[in-house]
Amino acid sequence: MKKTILYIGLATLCLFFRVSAQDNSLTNQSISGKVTDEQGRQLPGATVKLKLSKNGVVTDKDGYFVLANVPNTGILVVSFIGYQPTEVSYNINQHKSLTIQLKADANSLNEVQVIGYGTTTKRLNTGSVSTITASEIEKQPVTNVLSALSGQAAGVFVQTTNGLPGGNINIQIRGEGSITAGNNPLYIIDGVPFNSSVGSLTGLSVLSTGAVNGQVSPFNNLNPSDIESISILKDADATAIYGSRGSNGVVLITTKKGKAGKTTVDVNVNEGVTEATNIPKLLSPAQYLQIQDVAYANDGITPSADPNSDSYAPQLTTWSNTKPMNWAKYLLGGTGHLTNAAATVSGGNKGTSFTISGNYHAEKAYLPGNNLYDRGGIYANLQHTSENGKFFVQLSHALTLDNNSLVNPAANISYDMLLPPNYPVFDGTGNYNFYFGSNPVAEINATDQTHTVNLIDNLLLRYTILKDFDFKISSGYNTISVNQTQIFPTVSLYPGTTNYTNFGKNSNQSYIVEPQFTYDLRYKSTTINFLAGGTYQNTIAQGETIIASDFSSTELMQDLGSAATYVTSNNYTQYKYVSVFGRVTYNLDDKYILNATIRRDGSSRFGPGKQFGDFGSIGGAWLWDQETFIKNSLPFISYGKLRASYGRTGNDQITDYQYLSTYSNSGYVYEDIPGLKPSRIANPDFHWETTKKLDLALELGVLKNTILINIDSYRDLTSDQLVAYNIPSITGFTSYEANLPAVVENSGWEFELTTKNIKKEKFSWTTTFNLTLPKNELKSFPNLATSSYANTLVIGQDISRIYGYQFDGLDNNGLALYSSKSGPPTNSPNSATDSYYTIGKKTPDLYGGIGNTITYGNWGIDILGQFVKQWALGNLMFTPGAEGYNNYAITSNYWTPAHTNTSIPKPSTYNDFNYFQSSANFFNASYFRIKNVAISYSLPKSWITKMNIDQARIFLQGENVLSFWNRNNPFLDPESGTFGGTSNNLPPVKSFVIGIQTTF
Amino acid sequence: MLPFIAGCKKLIEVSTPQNQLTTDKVFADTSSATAAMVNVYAMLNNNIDPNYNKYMGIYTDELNYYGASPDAVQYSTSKLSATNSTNSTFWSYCYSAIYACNQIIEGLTNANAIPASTSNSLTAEAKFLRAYCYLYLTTTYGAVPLILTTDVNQTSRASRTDSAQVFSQIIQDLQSAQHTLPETYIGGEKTRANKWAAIALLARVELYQHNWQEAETQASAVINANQYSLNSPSTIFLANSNETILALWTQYGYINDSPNLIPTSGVPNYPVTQNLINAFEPGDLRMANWLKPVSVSSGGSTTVYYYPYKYHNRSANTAAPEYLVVLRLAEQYLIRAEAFAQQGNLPSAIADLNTIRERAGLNKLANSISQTACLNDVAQEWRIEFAFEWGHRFLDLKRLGRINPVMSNYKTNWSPQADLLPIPKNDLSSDPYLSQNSGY
Repeated sequence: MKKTILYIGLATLCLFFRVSAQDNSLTNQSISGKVTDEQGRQLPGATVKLKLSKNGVVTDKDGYFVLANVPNTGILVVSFIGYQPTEVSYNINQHKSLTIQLKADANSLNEVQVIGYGTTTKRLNTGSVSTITASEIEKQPVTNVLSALSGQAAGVFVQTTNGLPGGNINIQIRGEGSITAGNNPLYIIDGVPFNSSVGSLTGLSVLSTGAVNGQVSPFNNLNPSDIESISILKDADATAIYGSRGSNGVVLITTKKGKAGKTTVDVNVNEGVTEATNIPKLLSPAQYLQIQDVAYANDGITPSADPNSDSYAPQLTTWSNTKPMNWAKYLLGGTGHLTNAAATVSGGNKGTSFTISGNYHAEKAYLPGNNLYDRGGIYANLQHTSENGKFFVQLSHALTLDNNSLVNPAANISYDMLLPPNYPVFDGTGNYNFYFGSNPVAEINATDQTHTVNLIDNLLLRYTILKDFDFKISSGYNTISVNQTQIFPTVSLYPGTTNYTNFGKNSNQSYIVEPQFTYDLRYKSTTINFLAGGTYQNTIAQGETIIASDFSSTELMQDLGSAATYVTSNNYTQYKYVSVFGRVTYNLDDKYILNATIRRDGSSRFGPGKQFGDFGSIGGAWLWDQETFIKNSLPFISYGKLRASYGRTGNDQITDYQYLSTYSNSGYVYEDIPGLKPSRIANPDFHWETTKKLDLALELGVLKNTILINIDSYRDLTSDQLVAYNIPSITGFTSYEANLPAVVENSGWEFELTTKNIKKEKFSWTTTFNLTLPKNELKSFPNLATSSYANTLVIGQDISRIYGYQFDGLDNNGLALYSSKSGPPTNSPNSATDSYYTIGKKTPDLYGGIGNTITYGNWGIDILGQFVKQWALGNLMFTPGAEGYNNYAITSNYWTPAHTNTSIPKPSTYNDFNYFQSSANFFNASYFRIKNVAISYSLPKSWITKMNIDQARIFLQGENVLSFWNRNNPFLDPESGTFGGTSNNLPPVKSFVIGIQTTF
Repeated sequence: MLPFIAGCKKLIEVSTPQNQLTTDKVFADTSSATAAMVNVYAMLNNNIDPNYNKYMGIYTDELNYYGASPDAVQYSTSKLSATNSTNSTFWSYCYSAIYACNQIIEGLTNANAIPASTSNSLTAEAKFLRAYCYLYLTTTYGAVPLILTTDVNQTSRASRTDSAQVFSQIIQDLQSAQHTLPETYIGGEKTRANKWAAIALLARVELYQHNWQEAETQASAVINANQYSLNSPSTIFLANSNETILALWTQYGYINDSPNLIPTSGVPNYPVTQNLINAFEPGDLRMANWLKPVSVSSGGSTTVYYYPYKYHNRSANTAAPEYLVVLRLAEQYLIRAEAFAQQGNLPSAIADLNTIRERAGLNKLANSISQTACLNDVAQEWRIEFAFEWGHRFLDLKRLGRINPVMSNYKTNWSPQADLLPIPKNDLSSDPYLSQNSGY
């Protein structure tokens, strides 16, 4: 290491001396030629250099080069990203024009990797970045492109929180650092920050009812087939260039660009079916009735058929058992539909290239009723390079419209599926039966319509002022607007409830301008890249909601004028963001690389004096495989890199205007004056939440990179936590935004392994594997005991800690016992005293993915599996027999005097609420899921060339095909990440599609 | 670099949220400052009275509670937990109102866009309402944090201030208010404090402080102003009645708590105690006008329950709107009667008592009673005249030094420490400088 530092130091010093190398054999001659790939296609932009000199050129748009002032004989070094660097010796007298063929670099180390404000390769990267490319995305029939990340990268935890078409996807990069501020990564699409939420911090829902429609992801509006690559930036080296917004990691999404050459048309059509990944196992109708009988007997109550009696039990006395109903199956057991069509035209000539695509996606949910999600969009990208290659302009435009119709938006799935199997749809008088407060068949009459328009425009201008000195300006505009109407006619509601319609509109408009300068300084084998730039971003979010009720007619429930009463509200926030940033990358001989970034940010979310923050990082990489002693002593090592980075990033994911003291409408009217109440107490002193990130990694390739291994160890310390801090009500308020002195540590290990098991011309097999071992710990929290977090957090434990009563078995009467810290176990623990225990945590113990790609001739097979080891609070809401509800199948194992070896209490009509808050309702939620299977067959060239088709491929794809977990455990699905009781998040979708892709 | 930074600061200046007003803008014009002011009155009707009056009725000997709400049950047993949510709601709304008043006082200090007369009068109203809230806080909890600023860095670590000091601040605020407020009512209705309201409240505060001479002077000022006259018991609580000195405006003509107090059928939520019913002298018009019987049959027998009926409207009534009365002339007679009696001026005391008694259709008191008997008669009139109004019973028992004998006679498990309510737990845990009252 000392030696490395010495080298770097010396090399830096060299820069300050103007060493003018004199080559005696220098002539006025020049050598010319062209650079092509293995197929003979010209490669524009390849670098051709005279070995050991500064003399070099870049190939023109046709792949030609002329290198002047060269000696008579010499060696040319030709390199191009994605290809193996090649050395060619020449002799002017023999070769007037050279044709140099570059071999595509099969090893992914030299593939372009998109990083913040630039690109690099995996080999030369000093930061921790995982990349997913179009080829991996297109194998997955996903609605939401974020789903395609699941199981693909270490350190990236993806949860499909809701199986609705377009349900929200939750992504966490290297754990949760914030106690209450947002933990979402920063998403950037072609340089434009994309708001992962519209109208609220948590999701795209104008009218969040907490029900099935609760959270819809704005990423639905991206067509997965338009995406070229997704880079996930994890450590300080990669994220510090995003400064105050880099703490939770950064997801860079890059769209496809046109390529020069023949105009091609690509058409992809596929069609498939979907269903829920899981339908919870419930008691059979017979078991249900038997448990109800036992419950009434245990309580000494005789079920009565008299509706006025206290012991009225229609499920045992009056309801018919001839046609029992499995409500879980009714709600989740349907079959959905999936149609996808996309067409792309792309092509171009020397200076100009384009790509235009259109897509349509329709998906019917597996839910009952007429649900339909459809989406259509166009995407266009145009690029032009001027004749002299100095000026470059690129415009891309993406417009997506989607329409989501959903019935029963307020579905309370968790309760509705536990309705008694003999719960009649209609009561004796022919009206809908609402005896249990709900009726899924009646509730289907309520509907939700959501229209979303999303526009992303991006303009990039670049001008080469001097050789290697570029000025670039990138500007982007994004607008997303959501229009939602939820109609609840009388027939869908509990008898006597007034009908109502929710109207909501939200929009989010954002523009960003980012001027940048780049300069590459090359001297001998040293390259220094400079980047300096600035950002200005302006985002306005506004919305309005109207809740109108008491409509005269069901038919007129979209007509505001027909409503007797309505309540309106609106909101408006503005967010501005400005920053300057810079980066220096020092590369000595592609062996020693140092990378330093700095960023100064200002955000309008903070008060005067606290708006600006400084962030930065330093990272280094040592490619030790290039060292001679390694080459000599360990020849089987084909790639070896050690890298380390350390830096500081921030988090500003809080709501706007928290520093302002404000008044708002109080809702009271006094002397006919609408009252104004103080709505926020000002704390001008809060500032960024900061995370100090440390990352150490070893990257290794052996046997000509047949095996690639990547091991990362990270430690992130998040301090100055931004929270809504509790203050005494004598201040006039109960909380304000403040920085907590608490420190949260996220640490862990990440492993990535790629092996090329077989690599023959006709048969290849590659395996990828990744594993993450995360750990989250609250390191310190001064005065925790007296703070409002005294119950939720414990120093030394995970901040996602789950706490509750400690289940201590059943007593001799079959009732649950809970540990007490102040006495013997009790049936009725008291939360006010100290009877809460840590039950577990939400952070998984480990997660990862394993993928296999096999090609055999024209066949290709891909299988991707994802796994998580975790425990979670189950969805139990009733102890056996309680309140007449049906229950999960495991409750059939209940206590009887003859069967005491169980943890399920004896049946009773009374519910033991403590049971669900206790460790008894804590289950293994680990799973292994085959996320994706794709089988494709490319039609032989000989067949298709006759039809003028370049390529044709038939494929069968499946998503969430198979899942392995303990299905006896009371979960809707272990993947959703939302557990415990009243979770209404639907299980993810299992889908199979068949399709054809042709390229003309 | 400096100009650049300054430029950057400009770049991130944002427009204010359209559905919220920044505090400085509230005090940039009269109408928004007025909207902020009247909202404090609205809070008294909507938030503070509903969390105090009927609960203190249950806490003492005015009302029964047969329901199961754990919070209310604690009031009926006169044993409150520090986590009782009604108690903490009352406490925090009082301090919200105080914050709003402090904000108004601070905001108007530099409000150049508001005419000085308006600004002074709004400031005086804020001081009046701040005094009213502190009066209830200190009589209910004893020493309480005396918050006179909006600066959260100071207020979030405030400690309790001695009750005497709180009282002196109350008196100071009221004296200031009475000098600034106009004699007429600002909005035309008797629903915003005027000069007489400030004097009337000052009279009460002086009485609570046992400043008999001062109490007598202030009460006399109100009585002799000839602005107010006694109504018949049935019309006192109608909007802008002659007797009203200050009431709280209601949008639909009924007070916030009426739907809770007046039953639609069956057993009332808060039936009047037999103890209070028995306290009415025969022929008292107030019994017939202010208590309403309801017969409930169950299991073959019929029980008659009475519920508070000072306010009759439990839903919208534009024909005969009612406002929640805060200060009325009758109280000034009783204040003066008590002050006279304490100073030994029994004839004057008896004359004032008789004014109230005659209005209730009762006989005049004999002129020959002793001072003790006279004070007993004063206490009796307080009890009947101000039953179910703003927790008067609790405050009067405490001031008269009768809370422990009366209450331990009525509730066997009454603890002497129950004369102060507990400081809410939430505040104790977020402000380490606060301490709890003894017994909790």
